[in-house]
Amino acid sequence: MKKPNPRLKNIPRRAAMNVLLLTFILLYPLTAGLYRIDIMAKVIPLMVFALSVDLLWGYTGIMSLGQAVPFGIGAYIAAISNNVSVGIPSYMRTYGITEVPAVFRPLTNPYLGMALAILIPCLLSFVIGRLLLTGKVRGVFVSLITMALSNVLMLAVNNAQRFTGGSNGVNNVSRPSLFGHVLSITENYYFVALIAALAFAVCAALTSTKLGKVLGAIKVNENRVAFIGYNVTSYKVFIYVFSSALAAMAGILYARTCGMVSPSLTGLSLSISAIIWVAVGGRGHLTGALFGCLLLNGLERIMAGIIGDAWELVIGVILLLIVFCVPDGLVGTLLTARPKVKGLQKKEAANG
Amino acid sequence: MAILPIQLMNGLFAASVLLLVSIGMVIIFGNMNVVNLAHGEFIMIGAYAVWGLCELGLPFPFAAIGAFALAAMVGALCERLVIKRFYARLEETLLATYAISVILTQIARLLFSSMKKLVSLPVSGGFSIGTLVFPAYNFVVIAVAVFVVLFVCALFYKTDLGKKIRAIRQNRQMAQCLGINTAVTDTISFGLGCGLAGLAGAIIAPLKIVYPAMGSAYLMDSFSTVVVGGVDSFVGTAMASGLISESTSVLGGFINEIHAQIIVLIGIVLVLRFRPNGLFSKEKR
Repeated sequence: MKKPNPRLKNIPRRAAMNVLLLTFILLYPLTAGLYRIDIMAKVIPLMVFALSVDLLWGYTGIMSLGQAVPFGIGAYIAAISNNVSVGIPSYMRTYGITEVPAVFRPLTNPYLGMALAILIPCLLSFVIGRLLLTGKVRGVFVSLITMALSNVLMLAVNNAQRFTGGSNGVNNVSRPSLFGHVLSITENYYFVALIAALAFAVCAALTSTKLGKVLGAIKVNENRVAFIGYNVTSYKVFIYVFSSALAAMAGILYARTCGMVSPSLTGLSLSISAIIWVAVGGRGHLTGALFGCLLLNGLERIMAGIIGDAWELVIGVILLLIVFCVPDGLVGTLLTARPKVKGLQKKEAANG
Repeated sequence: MAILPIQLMNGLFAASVLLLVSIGMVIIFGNMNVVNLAHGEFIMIGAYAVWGLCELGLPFPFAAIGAFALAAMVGALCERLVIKRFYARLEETLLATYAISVILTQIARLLFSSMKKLVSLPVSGGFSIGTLVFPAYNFVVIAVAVFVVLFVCALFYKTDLGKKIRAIRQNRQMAQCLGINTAVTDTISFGLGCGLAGLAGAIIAPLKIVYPAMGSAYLMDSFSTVVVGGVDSFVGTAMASGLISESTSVLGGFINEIHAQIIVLIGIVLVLRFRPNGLFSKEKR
């Protein structure tokens, strides 16, 4: 076997991968036209969303099928806030609304709107988390309840046409503006990338603390962690609320970048897609979530142009292959596979 | 109150549809403990099968039996190839069955295109109770639902196969020790669950439009029905589907239908939270 370059070997693989991803994202606009930059700028918020799913599922083992709830609420509040801050949105005018409804009055201030777009999903998640993440509700029931909640939200959003635009969603959302200047497509790309990088750094810091270890322990054996004396529920609620904040932030970025929101952003399929990105990339590595999201979204946009709808068939097969062959995910396998073998060899050498 | 009898009757009909859709889930989720996200796609297979067989000129009852058989075969095949590797591994099962659901939907889309297919009602005309007239097919659906519950109960509690399935649920290793071929029994019961989903698809095909993604609409409904009913109980599921449909239908008569759905869904969430063993199950322990 070829010996790995000693200097290369010393660079931790995770860091190398992160640098690789970062370089790719930073250099991407140099190689692509505006259209492709815009598409990529829509993928980056989804990567933040994938991070939130990874914190919750990959690190703590809570499989929420309703992670699109905070994402969708964040996106909707951001979009509505952006619309009402410049006047009455056209969809409200078709229902004969001539002034901003009282519930949306606070959103006319864009800064307050932004804050609420994160705070409201957090508050909701806190209530849901306190109700849901106690010892009584376990395993698949958490998934089922969150799935039902995301159904409730989607029904409500679809039904409240006067306020949410119904199935048409909210349109004409402008790109983010800094100091009174609306960002251009490329500026917005780097703005979104910067926020995503900050989010990643915060997540990485969070998971490398003691908190991250406790969360990992909860994933492996909840009862034992409780027995040691940790309050499992409050740890779980904390990470649930934190990941909701992250998801809401991703939702805001997504809404402002896409220029529109629709009820599908609150639905089950987005939550499941995010779980698939994380599963393909690898659970509990953060990098895996980013990589999986980038890979599948990139592939989707390339393949959908070539084979159209049949792309979904390919994604199904990829998912089956991943579950069968690399259950740790692509990045997960890359990050963890070799050190284990090396440890084994050392052990054998010591024993021999 | 002329509206109430109509709402009650419609609720009964909706309950029968819900029961048909979720009875397969009782076997797969309740008895085998597999979270099958592809449940809706087996309903879709049944609906397409009945459409295809009716196009070929087969009478509807035989087409429905054919739909049951086709869905059962596809289900058994999926179990053999995929599901059996992931028993008792929740996350992998979720991902694998989701992959199956995507693949089945896409195969249907490639075979039949996204064009919506229509199946004509096998029984036309109305049936009147007092002054109220209801479509005759509604009564067929109610009758089939009652028959299916009786059939499955008989199968589970009166035959050897049912005994084997229940024995495996209670203690897989012990069942194996006693000489039950667990692999074959698993395949049969998974196939049976999928077949029942297919039958449900066949029965509802004339009422709805047949298209590749039609199944996903039933996934959440059947999960909530089964869980409210107590996961592994056929009678509980029957009662749950009655409760859910009647309350949606009666509430829907007085307030906006979507609001009724939302209220019922929130009720289901509360039941899931405070009675995870279901409303109608006896206290275990």
